[in-house]
Amino acid sequence: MKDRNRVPSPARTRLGVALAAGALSGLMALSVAAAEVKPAVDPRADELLKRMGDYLGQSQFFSVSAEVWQDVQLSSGQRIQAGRTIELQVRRPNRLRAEVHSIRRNRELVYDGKAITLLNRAQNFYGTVHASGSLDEAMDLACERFGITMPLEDFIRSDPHKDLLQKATSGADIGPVTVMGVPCEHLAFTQDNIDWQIWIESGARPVPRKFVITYKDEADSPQYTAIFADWDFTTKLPDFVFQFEPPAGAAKIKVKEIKAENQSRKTEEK
Amino acid sequence: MNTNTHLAHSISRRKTGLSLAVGLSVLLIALPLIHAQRGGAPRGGGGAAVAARPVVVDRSSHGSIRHVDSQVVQRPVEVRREPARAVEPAHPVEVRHEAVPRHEVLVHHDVEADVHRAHLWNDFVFGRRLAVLPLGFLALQLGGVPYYYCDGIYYQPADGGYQEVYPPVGAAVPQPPEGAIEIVAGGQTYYYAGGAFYLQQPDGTCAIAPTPLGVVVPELPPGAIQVSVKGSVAYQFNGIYYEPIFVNGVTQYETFMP
Repeated sequence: MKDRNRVPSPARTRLGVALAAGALSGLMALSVAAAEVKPAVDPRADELLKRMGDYLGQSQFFSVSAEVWQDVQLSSGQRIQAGRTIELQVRRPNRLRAEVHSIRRNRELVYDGKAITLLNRAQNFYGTVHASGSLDEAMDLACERFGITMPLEDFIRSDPHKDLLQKATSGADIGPVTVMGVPCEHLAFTQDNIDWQIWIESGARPVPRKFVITYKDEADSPQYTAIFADWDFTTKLPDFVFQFEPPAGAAKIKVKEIKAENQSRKTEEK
Repeated sequence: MNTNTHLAHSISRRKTGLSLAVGLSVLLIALPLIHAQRGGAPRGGGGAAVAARPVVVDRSSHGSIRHVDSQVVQRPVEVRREPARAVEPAHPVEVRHEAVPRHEVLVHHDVEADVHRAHLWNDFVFGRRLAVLPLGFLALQLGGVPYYYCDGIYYQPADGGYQEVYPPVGAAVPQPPEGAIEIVAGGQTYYYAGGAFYLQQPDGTCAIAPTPLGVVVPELPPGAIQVSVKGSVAYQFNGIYYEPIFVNGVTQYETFMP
């Protein structure tokens, strides 16, 4: 019986060759995959973005203003831009104040290391949620539990370079250009569902001067544009800047936890 | 010997086939990985991956790369007027179709940038008198009581003219008012406009349902009155209370009864 099952050597050779071919093709495919995983970010673009990220991440405190414009489509199909200004004051590791102003509405968000407070100045409502830890931790909690995204959060975090490039599939240094008269380097990145561009000030202070996101997967690819001004890394930001005092007559209201809402929805579905 | 050789060849062919199949299956596993890692969209059968992408999200208002895939601000779907609709309402008696052109008005809500349009029903004032009804009104009968309807506002005869009244539960109109906001609650899809919650009926019309409680709406009914409930601020409209709350960092209102 053993003899009958014995495979002659030419067949064994063919089997070996076939196995080797199969394994080789598998390995080739995997190595191609591994080679293409690496984002094709131009080293120069990566270096410039890292300079900016390090500069912001290592700054213990700063203030900046930004004018934000975003595309909005009216029901008529007409595309318009809605604008607002954002004033940011950041003190690491755990202080933040952001004010958002537009023609009719004013909104404020303060993190003092113990709580995040939202203020709707127009209606004079405020709400507070407990939070602690670094700015990164507080911003994660605000987003995950309460659906709150801090204005221009990408530039507040401790490692903007890492966060910005997390999902980038390509990046290029477009070249030098001026933004509001300030010499900058223009970088452009792509990822699955968005393209984004950043204009970083040339010279010793590599701060962002302009930032554009193009939402490729939304109808007509709307854009979000932020133009930065008044970067200030010298004016100290004492504690009182981040202490929230409710305006006269302000009413405290609840802050809805989206996680709880999601859970109750799931329960309803059952 | 011949039998042995034939068997050996047969086994070797089978094993060769098996090894090729292994190689091919490795390729088949690797190729989608390559595709996915290059940022390609998942194709058929990738249900979980497709489901992970939020569908309705107002991402462009926060301008964050980090949260580009986060479902941060849900933007309610707004009803927009269809050019023509061939559904005959079950209850209305008289219909006059004369469009009144209005301009869209931008209103920046405290969501960083939120655009709302002005609708006739935004201008509702309970009890306001009119000598004549607006053009394009619809006449309704509800339990033998006459009502008139135009663009989300209801009227009743009063002192030789008409007055604006709260939206009556049960009133059915051909379609939700333009600008009505789609709200899903308790497994039902409501169309919210002018303080009324419309539900689509089997005959194609939309009828006003009793206001569901515990539902969050992005804006107060026009003409809601500020009141104090147990020391907290609230708003009252047509017997229903609305509590202001921050949802996704934006002020919205939850219906309740004290």
